[in-house]
Amino acid sequence: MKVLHIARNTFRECVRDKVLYNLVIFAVLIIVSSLILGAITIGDVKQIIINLGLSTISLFGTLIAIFIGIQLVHKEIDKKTVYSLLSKPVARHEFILGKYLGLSMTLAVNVCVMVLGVFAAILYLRHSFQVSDVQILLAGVLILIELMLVIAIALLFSTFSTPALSALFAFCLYAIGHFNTDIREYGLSSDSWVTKVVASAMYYLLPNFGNFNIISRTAHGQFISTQIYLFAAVYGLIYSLGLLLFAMWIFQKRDFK
Amino acid sequence: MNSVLLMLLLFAGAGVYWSQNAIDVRVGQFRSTEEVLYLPSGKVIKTLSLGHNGLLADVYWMRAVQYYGGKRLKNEKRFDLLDPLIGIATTLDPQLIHAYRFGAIFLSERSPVGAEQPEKAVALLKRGIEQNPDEWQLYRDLGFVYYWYLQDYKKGAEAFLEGSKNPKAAAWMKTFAAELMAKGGSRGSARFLWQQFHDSADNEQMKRNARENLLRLDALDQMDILRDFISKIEARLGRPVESIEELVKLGLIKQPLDPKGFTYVYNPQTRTVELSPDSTVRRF
Repeated sequence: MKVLHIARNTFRECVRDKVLYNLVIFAVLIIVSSLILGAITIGDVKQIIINLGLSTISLFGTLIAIFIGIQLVHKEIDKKTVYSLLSKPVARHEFILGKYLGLSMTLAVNVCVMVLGVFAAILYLRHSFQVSDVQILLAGVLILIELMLVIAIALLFSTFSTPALSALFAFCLYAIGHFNTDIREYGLSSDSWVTKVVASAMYYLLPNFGNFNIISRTAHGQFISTQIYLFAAVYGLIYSLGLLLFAMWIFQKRDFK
Repeated sequence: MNSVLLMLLLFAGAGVYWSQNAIDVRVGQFRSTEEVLYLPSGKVIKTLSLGHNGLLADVYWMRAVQYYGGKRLKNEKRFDLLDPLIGIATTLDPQLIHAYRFGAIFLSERSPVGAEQPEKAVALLKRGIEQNPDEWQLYRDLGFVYYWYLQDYKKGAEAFLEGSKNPKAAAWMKTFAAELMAKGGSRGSARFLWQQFHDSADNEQMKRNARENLLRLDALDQMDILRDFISKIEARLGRPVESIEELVKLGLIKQPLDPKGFTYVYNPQTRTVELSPDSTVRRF
């Protein structure tokens, strides 16, 4: 219950901070794209709208997750509101979990509205939907889980580092997480067993953001097995949980005196 | 205070507009896109795209279309960046079918309509087939490039035959492969193929290209008929004919017009009927 209160307040705080203003930029982008893309390219405009829409959802969401995520804890410490909060019967782990869920709720609203925007653009272009368009919805869910993982990363760094460094670390980890497969390939092609082991360890330790990347296949309307969605979702949620537990542990140990 | 701020804002806006125009006039009103690819490798761009390779592929494809369109508008004959741009787009998204299909046309068409590089179009389509073996239309396009632009009828027939093995492939592909082997590059085969392209095109650009080529074939047929007719008249008159207008004045024919409405020209030296220099019918 306390967690939900903190989450709700975090959500309100994000709305007050005008985080959802990015929806306006997204709306303008999608509307303008729908109107002009047909004139400047050859081929399937719907495919471009899906690529553009889902990539924008992911990019905007990542920026929000990192830049708001790193502030979640730091702001409370900086304004000293954390003292009054923790002096109440609120456990530290509840505070972290509440903050995490609050930002996740904000991004969930963001993703939902943006996905609806993509559907609206498709309806404008094609005047109808296809069965394969359901995959846009599923891609939206995977993007949200990816963003929840990014929030967990940002939150983890913010429990022990400054906002600037937290942002840097979070972004680096996000970028490395996209090169994960290359790291493994590099290890596999190496003759040295040390390199193989290190590369393999990195592959499993670092978050693999490639797991959530189904935008291109969604845009082509290609069938993606349900198992891929499920395992990617499970991976993202479990990884986020691990990071959250780690963040809670660090926050628990932190001395505010 | 507010009105002063507004004035300053307007002043700043006008200043930006004025200075930008001053730069444009000195650099050239329409600054041409630099003929440089800062990142020439699609694989590198794909790695750096952080999972947004689909969107980047669309951006590179749009860039390729704009590059091609820009060159066509300026009537330029060199399309140096076309192949690399299409290559990057298809590396970023190997399932970008329209990039293979239209890219092959842009690369194959003879100058100044296209880059006149059918070998590169063949390489592009082969890459497309490798990545998308179920797309029978890529086989058809490959066969067509061999047939129409490279006049390699054997390889063209092989591509049509290979594509016809796909259950979704158009029924005519198998028979056309046989016809190609037997008759080679006859005008009838060309007409049949362009008609198929026209009827099955799923967008206006492709349809227009097929239509232009069908009109060109019509013009070739009409010029053959005219030449035969002039030969017969010359035999009957016992003297060479100087121009088509002469036949019109004699009341032997009505002024013949090409499919775009321009008059034909008769060259008495070479004894050939040609398109008028003003004609917009494709010439190759």
